[in-house]
Amino acid sequence: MGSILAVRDLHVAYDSPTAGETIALAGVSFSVEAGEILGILGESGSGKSSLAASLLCLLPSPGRILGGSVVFQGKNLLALGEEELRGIRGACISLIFQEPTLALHPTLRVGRQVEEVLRAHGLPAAARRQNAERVLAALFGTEAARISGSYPHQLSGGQRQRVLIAQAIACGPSLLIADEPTAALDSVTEAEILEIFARLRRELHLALVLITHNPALLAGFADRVLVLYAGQVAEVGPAGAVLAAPQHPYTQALLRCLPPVLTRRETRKPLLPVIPGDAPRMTADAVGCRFEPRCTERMEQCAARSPLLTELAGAHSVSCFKFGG
Amino acid sequence: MEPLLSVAGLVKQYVRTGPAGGSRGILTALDGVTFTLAAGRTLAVVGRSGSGKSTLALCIAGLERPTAGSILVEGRDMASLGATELRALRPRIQLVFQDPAASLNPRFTAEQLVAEPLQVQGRVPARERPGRVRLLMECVGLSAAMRSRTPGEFSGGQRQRLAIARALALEPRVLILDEALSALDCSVQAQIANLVAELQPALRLSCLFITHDLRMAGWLADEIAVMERGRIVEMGSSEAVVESPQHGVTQSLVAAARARGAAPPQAGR
Repeated sequence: MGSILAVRDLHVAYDSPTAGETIALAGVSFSVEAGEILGILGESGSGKSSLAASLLCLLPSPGRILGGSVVFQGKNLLALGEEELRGIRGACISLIFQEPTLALHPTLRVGRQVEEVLRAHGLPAAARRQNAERVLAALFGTEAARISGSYPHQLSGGQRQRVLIAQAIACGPSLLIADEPTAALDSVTEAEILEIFARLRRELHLALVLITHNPALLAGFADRVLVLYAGQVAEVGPAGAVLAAPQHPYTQALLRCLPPVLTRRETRKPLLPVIPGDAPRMTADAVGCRFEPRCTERMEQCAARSPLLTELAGAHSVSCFKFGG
Repeated sequence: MEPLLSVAGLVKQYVRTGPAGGSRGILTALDGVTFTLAAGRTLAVVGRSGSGKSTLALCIAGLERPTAGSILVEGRDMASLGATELRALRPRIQLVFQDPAASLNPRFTAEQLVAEPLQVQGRVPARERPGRVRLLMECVGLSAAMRSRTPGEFSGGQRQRLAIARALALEPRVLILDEALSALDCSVQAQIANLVAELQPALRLSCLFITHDLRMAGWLADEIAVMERGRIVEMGSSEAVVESPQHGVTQSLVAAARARGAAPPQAGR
């Protein structure tokens, strides 16, 4: 197995005439292995959606990529022209958005919308129809024909999300990037969608980058987890290690916030643990560890400079001075 | 003791309209819902999308007229009340929605937003309003210094605090949280869940917590009602429902919560 995507030292900023420059990503590096599920865990403002958009050069204005590289099959995507990028988007790397209702055209039958993706990549009409039928059958089984002839509003949220997945895999990409793909779904439908991703990985050897704010979504699903805090990697490693034995004070605090599944009202604590304070808005002149103001274990050097990502064991790395930094 | 809220045989039907505006049959969103909620208690209503949870919230808040059945608030049937009496009763039940960005006027300041219900109901004289607003904002953990900010200048969690302050302005007895935590980050969910848990005994509030998140339901609620196709298919203490779910829907909701439920780690403490 080798890396299919390598992100190095990615920097992204947003310019605002009133608030100046806000840093969304400050030196993010990671790689995605062929056929793996990488979970990117981050709360609002962590830069996770900027990351998803930057990977395919789809960052909306006034966002700017300040530096770094995104290397896919030996090419730095950030250096490619729009024409070359169009050949990669959908065909090699696909993006799935959070809100399937907004991503689908309301007045076109969904079968036609799946064909549209294939047309954009130059397939002849007969092959388009055949391919669309094939991917819809993979996602809807015997219901595929009915779904194909339906309009988005006639489908449930889970079905719409499956149509988006069909569009995403229609051209046979090797990597899917999904930004909060289940946020609009109920928990049972969410489990169904995750099962579909797991099956696509098994059958098509697709790699998946799943971006979410919900750590519970990644447990038992992702192979590796990367924790993003204020535009930097706080911790990255095997999912079991990061979720069950987190080392970064932020990851530890975040996971403690989740209520337990089982409640024994007489024995439980009256309140859930919380992380004091709010996530920071980062500016270019920020110094020190970004979690320092909210950290219960802060030390002297934490405010002075930013810790480096340090490998502990078994590809589990943490950026915290507790571990050298 | 008489329950604060008593819902019996509640039915809500919508007429589906076809493309040409004609009727295409009846959609039954609520199909005979019955439960009671005692003062100071929390009932979670859980279920999948489309099970009727939000329609139930709208009916109880008096924003939708039920097709049949009764909703008794402090023993008075909402359906039997005239417009004036209903107007007097409505403040007793307040609703907080999922997306505070969509439910707060973006051009109002925090102070105007919290003062608006007081102004509309006219129960608090104008000169006492600023003091009341400050108290309400403090109550939900927002400092007085934030009072001239607009919703866009608050974080998601702070906006939801603001929505709760606004809901509490009229001193309700029942607070309905309709997926009010679902759009928030985990750490912010915990903060808002704690806020509700702390306010409840102080204000003797009853809560109707509508969610598809069984985990948070089990944490916040005394009892859980599970809805499917407009009916309550299972109801019991939170422990009983989470530990030994009987109905298929409950079992799939519990399974979804458990499958994705790595034990919260205790490391580092």
